[in-house]
Amino acid sequence: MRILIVDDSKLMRNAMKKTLVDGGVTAEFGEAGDGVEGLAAYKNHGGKPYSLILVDWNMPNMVGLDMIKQIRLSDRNTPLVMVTTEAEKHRIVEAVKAGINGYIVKPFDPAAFVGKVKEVAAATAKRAA
Amino acid sequence: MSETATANPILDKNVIVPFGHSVVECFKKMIGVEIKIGRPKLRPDNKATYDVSGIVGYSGDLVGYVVLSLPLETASKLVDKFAGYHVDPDSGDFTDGIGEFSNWVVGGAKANLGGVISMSCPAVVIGTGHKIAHLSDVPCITLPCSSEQGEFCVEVNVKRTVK
Repeated sequence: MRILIVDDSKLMRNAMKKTLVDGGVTAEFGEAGDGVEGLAAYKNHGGKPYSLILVDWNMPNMVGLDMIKQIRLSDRNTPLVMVTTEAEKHRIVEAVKAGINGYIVKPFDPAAFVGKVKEVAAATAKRAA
Repeated sequence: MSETATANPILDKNVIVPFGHSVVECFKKMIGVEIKIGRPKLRPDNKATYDVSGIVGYSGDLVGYVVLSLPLETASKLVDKFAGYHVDPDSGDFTDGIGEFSNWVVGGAKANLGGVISMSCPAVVIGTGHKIAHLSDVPCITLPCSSEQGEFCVEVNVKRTVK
């Protein structure tokens, strides 16, 4: 599995990677610091497309929601999971309408975070089979 | 002289309480640090309480800003705990950590403040005695926090734009 983590905090990206690895997720990780970098990493994957993308909402240059909308213009399949402090219902609805496959609110319980990522990955694998 | 929440009716508990809950939950869940919340006070001037400020602005149905204010030593211990290694306080990773803490606390509170509110990306200021101008028509409220890593506080200077 290849996971792209898009978050403007390097420490947060590291924390997510560590939490996933500690939780038994075997993956190759890519990183991006904002939506613009995230889109570039998504497009320029060097022949190995990402199997799951974790996206923060509030980031400089391009927010996560706009990045998700850009991806969904041409790709309905790559699983996109929002990981954000935005916890209000209207925000979640907005993200669902944009085409996310999962929504995780920061701060998160590490086990719940890992569980959600595994759940989305498994659902995608099942659809592809 | 600062005043306490019970002594001053202009301290709106519906605005302050979500920040107390948020700071406790954020630090416990994300880095396993227990936080105790003290009695809110009015901040007497615009001088930052401590050396390190993580500042996040609100706009929409609530406007103003919130500051996570920490002594450098406490900030350093908390960032080290989050990173899992020692982070040089002069490095970008240090400001990154403080910005992320501010984001968690302010974002976590936002969900319980009601209305439609947007928040800015965090800005971090480091320096003893720096000043942060606050909205002149509403009080700036300081919420003292203590942890094994030291004391710090959350400063809340916001007002509702809709009733």
